[in-house]
Amino acid sequence: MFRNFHFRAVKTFARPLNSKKSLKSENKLFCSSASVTSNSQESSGFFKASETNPVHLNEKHLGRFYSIDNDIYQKLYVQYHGFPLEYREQCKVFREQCVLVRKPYLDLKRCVDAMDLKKPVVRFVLHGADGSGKSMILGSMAHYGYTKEFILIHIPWIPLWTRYCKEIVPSTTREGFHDHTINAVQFLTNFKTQNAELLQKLNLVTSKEYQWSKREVTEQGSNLLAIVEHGISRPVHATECMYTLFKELKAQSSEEKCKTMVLADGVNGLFYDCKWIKGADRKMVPPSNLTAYEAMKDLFKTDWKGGVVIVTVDRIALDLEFRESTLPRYLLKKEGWELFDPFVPIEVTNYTAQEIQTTIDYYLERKWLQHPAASTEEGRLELEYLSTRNPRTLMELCNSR
Amino acid sequence: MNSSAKALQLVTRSRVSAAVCGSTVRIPRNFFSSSTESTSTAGGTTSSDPSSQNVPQFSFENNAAAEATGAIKLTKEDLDSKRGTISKAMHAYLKRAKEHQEFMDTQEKEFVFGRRHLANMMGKDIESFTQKDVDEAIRYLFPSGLYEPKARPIMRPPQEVYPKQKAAQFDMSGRPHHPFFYTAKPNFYYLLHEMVSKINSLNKLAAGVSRSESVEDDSFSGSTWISKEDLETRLLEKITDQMYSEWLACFERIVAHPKKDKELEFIKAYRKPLAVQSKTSELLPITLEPDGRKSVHVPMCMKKSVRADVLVTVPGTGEFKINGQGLDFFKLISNREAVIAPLQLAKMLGKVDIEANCQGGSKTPEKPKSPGCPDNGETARAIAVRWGIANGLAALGADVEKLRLAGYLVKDYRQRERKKPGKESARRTWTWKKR
Repeated sequence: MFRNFHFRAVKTFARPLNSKKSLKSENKLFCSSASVTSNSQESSGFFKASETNPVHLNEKHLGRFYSIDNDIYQKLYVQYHGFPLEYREQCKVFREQCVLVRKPYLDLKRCVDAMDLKKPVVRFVLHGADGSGKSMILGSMAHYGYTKEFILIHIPWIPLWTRYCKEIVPSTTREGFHDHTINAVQFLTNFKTQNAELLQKLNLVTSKEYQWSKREVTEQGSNLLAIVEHGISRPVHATECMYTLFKELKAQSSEEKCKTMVLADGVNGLFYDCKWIKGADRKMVPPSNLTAYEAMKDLFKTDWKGGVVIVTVDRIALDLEFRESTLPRYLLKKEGWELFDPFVPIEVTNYTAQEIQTTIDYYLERKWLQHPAASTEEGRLELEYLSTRNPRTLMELCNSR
Repeated sequence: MNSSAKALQLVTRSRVSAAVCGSTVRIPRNFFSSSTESTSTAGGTTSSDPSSQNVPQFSFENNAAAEATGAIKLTKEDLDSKRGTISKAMHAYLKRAKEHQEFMDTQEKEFVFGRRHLANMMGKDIESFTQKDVDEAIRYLFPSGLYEPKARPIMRPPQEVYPKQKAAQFDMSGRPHHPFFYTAKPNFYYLLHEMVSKINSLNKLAAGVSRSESVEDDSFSGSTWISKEDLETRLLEKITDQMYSEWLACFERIVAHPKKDKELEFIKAYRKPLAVQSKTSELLPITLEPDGRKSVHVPMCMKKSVRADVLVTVPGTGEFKINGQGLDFFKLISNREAVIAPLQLAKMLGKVDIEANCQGGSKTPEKPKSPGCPDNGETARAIAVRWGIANGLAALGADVEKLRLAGYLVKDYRQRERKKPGKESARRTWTWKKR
């Protein structure tokens, strides 16, 4: 009925920024316009939390948007897919970075808070339907980890290493293994941007000497950033540098010199054959013969302390024939399941009735929804039903096409 | 054996044109017996309306009945004595009728004889050997694999098999019975004549009334003039389009006449009621659930090969349950739109619960599809469910007219057209290549 929400037509009437409805009980979603106007002065954008520090977010902010400072956003998310592309494009248009505080996020945050870093790492696995917000929650955790001074090992989207990988070359150091070059350089660059300050501050040094080639050596006692920089300057060694970096960080965290947060999106992709990854003989390289895969899988093991591993399993990370279920047991296969077992599963569901109204309010406030009917009860209902409260579908519905 | 085979004269039914059957001649059994009755010609058409004297009355509607009563009764002597006086046309007709009668008598005799033989062959009693038994015996003795039933062998009374002959349209002296015989369309022109005389009589009645005073009323609004085809079957004559329009114009003049009330019966005989749109088709029954809610079950929702059944419950929370899933059962947004469209129209979105089961629609795809890509037949499923929801809402008191106008209550009976040999699909041909 009111499909063309994307029409950037002249708004026929301007409604005061709604609304106080959001946090009311779920059955009273639609307040009358009178109550909206009366509250308009004091609650301009009530759906927005004034808090910008993720550490202080709590149940009070549940179902509201909190904004990420632009500096941090640029540092953490822009360079290398920290948030999904669609969301980043939207942020560009909105000129602000607002993330909805949702229950799985708060749960996860509380768990990480309560975790004992002297014990072996705890693995959290986010799972849920397509487009339900797993990657957004994972990305938000990066902000939290950054604030809490975790060293971030942020691998935003594993399929970039599997079916969308850039270049595969035979490894120079390991027999029969293959390396990602460009991907690893991108990762290391991103790692440097995210963690350079912290690494300088903590002054982490290498525990031993690393011989990359005949003439290229990283001395014992040099800063960890030296490894990163070597990897960036020598793509052939980038994957090896990555592996070394991970090992160093694991060891340093276990010695309580630092805290490490591992974030990986779509880890189940690591356990499947990828026909696009081909070696010099034009044959498919099995996942067990890829250095980068081994490095990542090494991170997910419980043989270290002082860190936290947060991953998502996503069926979109897989090929079409492996998309029967969204549950971790199916997606991780036997190998992945054995690697991750035991883990803390966190289910990410679609929006609640209140969350979808808040999101629509937010889009209206940003003038993203401009159709006059969008703010009416019918328009909201239509959006709710067409999207089936799925965050990504709602986003696509409201986007201009 | 030989005689029985001869007697069992099998006849194949000739194609009898329906038009010829209208008028028949019935010559009684005692055609040549020495009856004392004087010759009465076949002009037995009686006047149906004695009120009007000046117009000769010929009712074409009961032509057949008239011929039934006015059967020709002639004696042999009459024929001989009147040979000099009767016209040649009548003489030829009588000769033809006699020949026909003789032929029919022979056929009748053969039929009776053959039936007896047949009964004998089948070991049945001739007295209780009915036509049904004859048919059965023929089917048994002459099994036929022909597809068309009319082409199979039959044995029936000759009256049923041979076409009836047309009755004489003229009397002994060759004068036609019908006064409009020489117009070639006597019934049609007679009707026109009747209408004009009615107009004349009405004009006499309305001598003082001016035409302008006549008020247009809509007493004929619910009906229309009978079609050309209907008129043809009524008159038993073929008429042209121009004749039909003349007839219409004449009737319009009667209807426009201020005194037309006098001839209402006559007018109504040539009008037929317009097909009345059944505004309130039968609504489905409402069931009262144990929890006090009302529900309507719509059993057979169809579209192409999809068969669905929908349960609409009110009041509800707006929950959808389609094959156990929510509205995300439909991957395409357009299909979700289709399903919620009747609810939006009835302003019931979020107020009713929908439960649907749908089967069919497609074969299972060989290759798995990506999450955004729908299975084949998803749209058909959506339309079937939409039909069920719309009907459920109509039964639950939504505005039926609105739903009907939106087209949601129309059942779509169309089916997939089969692929034809020599074509790429149902209709599409291959791209033409010179060679």
